[in-house]
Amino acid sequence: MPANNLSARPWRTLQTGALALALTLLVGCETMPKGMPSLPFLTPAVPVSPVAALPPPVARTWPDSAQDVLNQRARGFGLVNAPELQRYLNGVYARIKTQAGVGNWPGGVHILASDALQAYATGAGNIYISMPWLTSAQSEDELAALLSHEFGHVYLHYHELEGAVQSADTVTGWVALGVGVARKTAQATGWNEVDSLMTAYTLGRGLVTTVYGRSQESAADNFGLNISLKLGYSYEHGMKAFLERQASWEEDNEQREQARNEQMLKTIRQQAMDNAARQNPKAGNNAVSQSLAQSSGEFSGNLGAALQQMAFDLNKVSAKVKSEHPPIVERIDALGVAVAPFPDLQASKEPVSMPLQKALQDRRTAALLANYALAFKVINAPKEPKSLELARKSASGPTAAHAVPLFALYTMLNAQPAVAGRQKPDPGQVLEANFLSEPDRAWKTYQERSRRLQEGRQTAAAKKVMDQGLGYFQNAEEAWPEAIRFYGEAQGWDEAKRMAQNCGKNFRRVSARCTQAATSPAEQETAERKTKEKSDQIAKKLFKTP
Amino acid sequence: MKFHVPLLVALLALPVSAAIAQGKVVAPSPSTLASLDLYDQPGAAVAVRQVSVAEAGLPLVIQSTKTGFHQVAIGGQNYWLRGLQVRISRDSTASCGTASQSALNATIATPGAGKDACK
Repeated sequence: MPANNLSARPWRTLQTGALALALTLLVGCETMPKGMPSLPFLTPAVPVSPVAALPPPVARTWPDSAQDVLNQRARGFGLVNAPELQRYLNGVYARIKTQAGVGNWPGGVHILASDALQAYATGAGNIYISMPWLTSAQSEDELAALLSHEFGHVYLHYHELEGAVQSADTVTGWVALGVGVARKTAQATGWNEVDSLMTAYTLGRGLVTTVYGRSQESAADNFGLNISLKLGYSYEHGMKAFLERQASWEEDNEQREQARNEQMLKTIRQQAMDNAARQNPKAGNNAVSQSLAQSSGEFSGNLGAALQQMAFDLNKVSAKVKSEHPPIVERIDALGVAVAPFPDLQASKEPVSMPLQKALQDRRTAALLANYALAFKVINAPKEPKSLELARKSASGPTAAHAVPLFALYTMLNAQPAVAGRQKPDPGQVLEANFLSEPDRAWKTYQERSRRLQEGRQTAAAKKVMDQGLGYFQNAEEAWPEAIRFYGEAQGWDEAKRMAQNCGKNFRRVSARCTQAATSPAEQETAERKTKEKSDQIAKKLFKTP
Repeated sequence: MKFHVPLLVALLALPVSAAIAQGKVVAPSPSTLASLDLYDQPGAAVAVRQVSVAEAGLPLVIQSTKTGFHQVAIGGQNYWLRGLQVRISRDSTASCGTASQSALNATIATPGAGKDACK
């Protein structure tokens, strides 16, 4: 039987079952956000004309901007301390706010220490954009469009949604049970190998947030178009170019994921054939047996590969269903329709390029960008022969204490132990340069340093690093789950539970993650067993499985 | 000295135009557009001919760019396309190295400019 025929029934069964289950649980759940039906974007949004006056801003209470920045510094590799470049970006942002009539609103632009194409805004009025946006954007029109789009999220007060989505997350308890049932059903239909597939929880939460996210993005696009055009930037070099670049990035990544998936399928097939050969050692002397063993291996390999392919396809479907962003092409089309009635807005003109070029050519900024480019290169290929030279250069001059370049050097020294042996007995020491420079500190370096020391049974040293890190990042909610896990392992789970209680009181948004982090391995095992037993019982009742 | 200024401006503009001539024309814009207008020079008000999207041979390599027009070869002949009528693939310096090193939790912020493409 061809492998693809094998896939059809369980694919549909799981997809339909999980979707129905998730919807049933969500619709019937009392913990659905109460405010949802009254939220403005649940009704079809009327596109705002690019030349119309903006809706008046909604009064709000601003979260603390500095604490927001500290929190972002505790995510991923944190932020890049680049004062000159930020001054330029804040100048553009100030013009956007003034054009919107809210020049006195708080918040600034900050640079994410990430090599991905990322940008987002927070309720504190801050906008975070990654370095590749700055080095890829071809004009100020494009950057202004990106910032205007992000400011659209702030202005339109969509940050209220954060609370709604958090409330939606409280359905986790219900839906987790759904996951168990889905898994049990999957086992009954031969799907026990695909536990990692789209779960009822993922689907359920995705569906809740999708309605918000898509409308948000469209509204922010319209807002960004409106403001950027009023500031004199072009649609073609601004909003259109920004969305086209985002589209190209997403397409490239999808292709990369596809290639990775194909490689995985090949490996699965080969492994299955190798296993079959190992399990039938006597087949070597018999042509018929050998052939049968090979067929069995091929069958098993094809089955495994088919399941993997289904996982890939299903994940794609899931991502599409729950994506917070409408497909980019739809967004470009929508803006094209919006500018169509206005010939003046479509007139061809040159982009505004000089101010951006000047900002990027600033001596310190140029050195900083060059060093980060080297660091990203090393992180992506730490085993390359020239990595040591590149990593050293990246962690020098204005970036000598920055987290990403130091992490690049650290990664390289770990990847090439022979080089590390000559350099430093403990590669983790290089990360400590980051601790010494207050504006450059990143939570990531404290985490990594303490983790490795702990693994090496240097508990006292590990605790000292974690104490210092948490001392600095104690007001950053993002730091707490990882810290709790660390102290649980180092000082016992009672201490972790005490910390989790404080975390829950102080930081509602990460409360669930803190509680989870304070769960000891034994408790986790018990919880998993109980969930499985419960879901088995429900699955038996619902699906009459043996 | 005054007559040198326009020349200087023109010279400064050159690398900008050349830099913008990256990428390819990958699709019509809006995506439902069935045909593309072909111009014999940038800035022309009237198209010299039209070509259906199916026959245009997308993607088309952009040879040069000038004030909202992109020069491409269609059927062995050079034409100019209006930038507003086409979607362009645009390079970026981005990759997923740091994302793979630090799994980010769902942001507390609104969704950003696009979906998180690193998986």
